[in-house]
Amino acid sequence: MTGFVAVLMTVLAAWNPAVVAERAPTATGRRWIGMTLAAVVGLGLALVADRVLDVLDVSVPTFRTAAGTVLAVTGARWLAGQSPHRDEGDPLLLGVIDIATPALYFTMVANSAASGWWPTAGAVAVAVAATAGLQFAAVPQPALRWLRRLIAGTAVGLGVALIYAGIRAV
Amino acid sequence: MRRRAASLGVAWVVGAALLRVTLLAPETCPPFTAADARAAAVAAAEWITVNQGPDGSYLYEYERDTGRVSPAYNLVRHAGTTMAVYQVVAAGETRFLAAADRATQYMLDRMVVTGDDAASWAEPGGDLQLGAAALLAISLLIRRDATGDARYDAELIRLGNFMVAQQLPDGVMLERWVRSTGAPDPEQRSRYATGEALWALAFLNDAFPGHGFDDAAWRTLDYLSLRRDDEEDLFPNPWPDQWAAYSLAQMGPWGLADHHIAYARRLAQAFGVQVRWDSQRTGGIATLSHPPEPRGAGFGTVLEGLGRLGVLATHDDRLADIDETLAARLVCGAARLAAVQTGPEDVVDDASREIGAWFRDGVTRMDDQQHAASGMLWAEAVLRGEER
Repeated sequence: MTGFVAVLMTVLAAWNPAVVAERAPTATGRRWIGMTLAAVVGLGLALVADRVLDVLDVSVPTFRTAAGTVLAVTGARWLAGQSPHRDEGDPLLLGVIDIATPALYFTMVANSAASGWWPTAGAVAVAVAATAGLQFAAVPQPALRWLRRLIAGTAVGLGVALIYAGIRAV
Repeated sequence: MRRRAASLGVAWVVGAALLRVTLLAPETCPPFTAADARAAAVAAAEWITVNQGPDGSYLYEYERDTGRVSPAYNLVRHAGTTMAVYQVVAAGETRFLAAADRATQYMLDRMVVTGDDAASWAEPGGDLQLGAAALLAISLLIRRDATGDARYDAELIRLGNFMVAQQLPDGVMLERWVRSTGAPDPEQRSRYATGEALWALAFLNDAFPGHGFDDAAWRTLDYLSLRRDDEEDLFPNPWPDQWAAYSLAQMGPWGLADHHIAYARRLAQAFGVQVRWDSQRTGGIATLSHPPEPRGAGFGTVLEGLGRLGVLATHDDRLADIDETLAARLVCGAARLAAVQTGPEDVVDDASREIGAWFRDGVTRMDDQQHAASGMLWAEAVLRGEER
């Protein structure tokens, strides 16, 4: 698995559209604004990924290992933790909280540093479309639960793969 | 919502802090120049030669807190250390030539004929080790290149024939020749000696083409590239074999196959991650989270591997994508290793047995200086933009 497919899979796993759709089964404008703002911040960080790594004084493979660890831990938490539930509050802030996760930001920066910004941005666009699709299709909660677990398991596997790729690099 | 926001904030703050002192600790590479690398290599060669005995043997192991000198000795390490001193001589430090020649005579005085125009060396009564033969051959070849002196050519051919006789048809190299049976031990292999013998055979073929050393070298390179690590159950896999790296660099101009290049890439990865990991040992928790403290011998082999694969990468387009990274890792690793070399200001008790050495847990062994000196020379070459 290389190139855009790898970027797409890891970003989708870190975003986990099923988790977002479980928390917000229907689309609301303010929540989407919040999600978009968080995604734009993530894309901004991805755009300056090289600078981020310079500031941290770490190499691309080292950051990839860290991103893989965060992704795997997040996936494990989705698998073993409680189901996400609908929450109350300002939809804009909730949208930000849905997306501004360590797993997604670390994955975006790692991907952008290794494969470039455009594939990362493309993968985010696919994740946005997948989330919107789940919300507009009004997928039943049990199906979302299984989809969330499937993506969570994939996140664990991809996280381990990223760790391995980080170690197996010059 | 507050709970979710709070838990996200905690995940960010605690997660970032934890990562920063573990996996994301900064990779620190001290400033380092070609002159620094040369000085470190020369200081290591000084340690080796200042502590050499009148019979040509070296100080094997020294414990600085007690002043204890180990009574043990290792012939393969004697040969390897001699090789490193000749490398320093080849770099232009000819004042070490006499000491290296004394160490060579120590080996030549112990030569044993093993077959038709074949010989190696060992202590009287002892079995012969492949690694000792290989590293003596390499020492003599480096000496030959550095001095233009061909006086040991006959010994070189005999050593080459000894090594070929230790090879099985599938490229496996047998580690020991048993004096009592007059034949190789069919069971014993060595994770070190196979690569040492491969490099020696390749080097011999370049010096003496037409003796069939190239056929033997190809067989063993295939074995290393395709099967050795699995068959011999080595961990980690690939075994970070700097001797294989030397061999690949030596055989690069012969035209390597894709599976050799794939092996070279795997080796480069195995070496590179060790420098990255060590460079994160920046004090405090990061030192605890990035064990173990490397010793001169182990980390020196990493530098040797990176240096030789770097040469291969500069000549083979199939490795061009890692050429610069290899150089960066080599220089970083050399800078870190040089920073912990014992200088005059660090002496605890006996300056002649401490300056130029790398100690771990208060102990240094001659191969600490051997491998570190070799690695420093490759780093120097990179920093000067030269090729050796």
